[in-house]
Amino acid sequence: MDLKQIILDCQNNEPLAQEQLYKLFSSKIFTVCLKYSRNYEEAQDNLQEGFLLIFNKIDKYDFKGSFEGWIKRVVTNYILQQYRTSVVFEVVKDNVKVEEDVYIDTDDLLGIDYLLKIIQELPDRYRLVFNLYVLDGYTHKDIATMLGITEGTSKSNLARAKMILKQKIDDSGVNIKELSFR
Amino acid sequence: MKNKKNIERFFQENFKDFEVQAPADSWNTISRKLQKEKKKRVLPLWIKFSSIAATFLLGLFLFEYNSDGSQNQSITSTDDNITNTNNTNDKNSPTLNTSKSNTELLTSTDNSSNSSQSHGNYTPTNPSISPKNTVVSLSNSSTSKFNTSQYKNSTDKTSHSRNEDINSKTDFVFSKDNNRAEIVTNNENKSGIEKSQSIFNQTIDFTSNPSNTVSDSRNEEVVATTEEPKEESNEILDYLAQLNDSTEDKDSETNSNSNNRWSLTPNVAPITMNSLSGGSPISDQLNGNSKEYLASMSVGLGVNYAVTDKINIRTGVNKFMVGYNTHDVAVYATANAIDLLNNNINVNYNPTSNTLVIKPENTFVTESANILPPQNGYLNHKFGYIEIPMEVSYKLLDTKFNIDIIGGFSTLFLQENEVSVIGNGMKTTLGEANNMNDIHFSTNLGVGFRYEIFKSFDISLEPMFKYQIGTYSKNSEGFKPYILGVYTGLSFKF
Repeated sequence: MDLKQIILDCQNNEPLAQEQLYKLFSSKIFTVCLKYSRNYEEAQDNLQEGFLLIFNKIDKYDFKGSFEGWIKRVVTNYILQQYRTSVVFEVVKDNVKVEEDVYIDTDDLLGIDYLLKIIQELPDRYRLVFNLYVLDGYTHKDIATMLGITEGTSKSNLARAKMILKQKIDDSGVNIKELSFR
Repeated sequence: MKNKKNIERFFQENFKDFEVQAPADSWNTISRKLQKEKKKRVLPLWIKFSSIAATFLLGLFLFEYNSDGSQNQSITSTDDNITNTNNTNDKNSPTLNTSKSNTELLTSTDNSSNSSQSHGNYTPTNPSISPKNTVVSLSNSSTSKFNTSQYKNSTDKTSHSRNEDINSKTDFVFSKDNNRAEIVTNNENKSGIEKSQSIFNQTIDFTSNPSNTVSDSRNEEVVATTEEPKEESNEILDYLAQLNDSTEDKDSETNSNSNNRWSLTPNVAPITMNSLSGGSPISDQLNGNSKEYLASMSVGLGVNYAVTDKINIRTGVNKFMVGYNTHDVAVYATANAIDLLNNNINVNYNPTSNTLVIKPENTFVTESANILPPQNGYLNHKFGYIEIPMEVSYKLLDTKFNIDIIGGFSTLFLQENEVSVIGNGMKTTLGEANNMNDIHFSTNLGVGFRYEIFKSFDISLEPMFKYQIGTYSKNSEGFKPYILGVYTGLSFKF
């Protein structure tokens, strides 16, 4: 059965098609959830709620554009809503030079699990901005709209996120502590 | 080998092909929730429609009730008419028909304007109703005659009363103008039995059909009018359903509230009333007296519907009591008719307290006819309402901790109304204030603070200002009451 038929059947709330759709996309969606959530358990919650939302909204999918992109957006937006408001009062120190590139010295021995863990450990807003900008390629303008913040805040959040990640990579002991700016 | 790498690129490379298998038990949870949702979907739709219908019908009912204080009477009398005409249809006995319906109309012509008004309501659209109008007008004239016979003013009692029966019957049956003129003159002449007998014969010839048509057309009319509001409410329901659909369509896919747009909020609030100006709605003599406003509680249940992420509409029902004391009054009992006449107080007295006169303290009182000497004390007026708010709230701050601004209006139905006087530790109930509207409105403004304890539970705190409109029907003396309350509630979202 092709994807289009599965989607059409899902639009008619057919349980078998829903299960097929889940099987096709669950790992892709769960990966998104892992990156944007605080931990494995919350990622699992977000996966479940995200799929429920997909099945609720699937009748609005009009077969224009990639379906994978569409369901990822639905889930990402759902997760953003869960976390975007959690930082209410934020002390913004603007002494962070936002345009600077951050370099790390690494021997590539850092496991992906470790990298995921340090992303998940970032404060909510930083994690969201880092994921959106670095891993999912959104612009600061998009992010500002998605999170209801200014572009400046988005840039500053990203810089802080990178600093924290760098610090953790440096402290991991696997690599040499060295910091350099271009 | 260690490489210097841009941190962004480093993460991008590492996460490029990153994919993790979803937990095995996730699908079971999802499919269970999907099944639950299917069941749940029926419920909110049902709640949605029934709550809208209930609100609408309640509003309609109360509006009907309020639009004319005596409408209840006229409704019952028309009902009686209908049943009577039905009876006569079954029995096919014209005499019974006229005598009964005439007595019915006799009773209802005490409120003649009301009853004729209610009849008139059915008329405008259908030309077939014209006979009914004639009936009403004629029966009025016959009624007045009937009254005179009751008071024994006529000379020939027996013949007249017979005459009366016959005439009234012809009144009811004939609807053509010619006949009507004949009958009226007949009535006025109060002629003997012979002439009226001939009319009686005529009427028998005509009775079967016209009476049937009259009563039939009436029945149809009444059925039609009772059905009208239903159709209207259906239309409105459809429209509201469409509105809901369209707003749901507009919602972006990011909307996380789609699963719990509704919430129920039992609430409780300490409230107090106050007034923007002085004046005493109880009596203009007490305008200068100081007042003390009493605090009380409002309890109720709210229903909230999230139209969008930021905009909610809400309604519900609350019950509360407010009141105030007017200080420095003197009360005395008198048999002096002039004093009682001048007792200019907007209260319908209870029979037990109708000799009591209320004056400001230190008013000169002629003591001659006093049953009890003046005593100082204060007046207490407490009144209770059922409140049905219709409000819109807008989220200013949308986090785990929300701030809303709330605006709207409430419809308030007077439930309790008691004026009493308290002096020397004794309380005497005077009666109820006669210048309070059974229904009035308030415009509401407030701020809501809401904190999400769990996903489905919020606690809320809402200081509200409710300015009353149309509390008093007359003699409010510029008294402009408002209510302040801090509503605390626990919301359950579903």
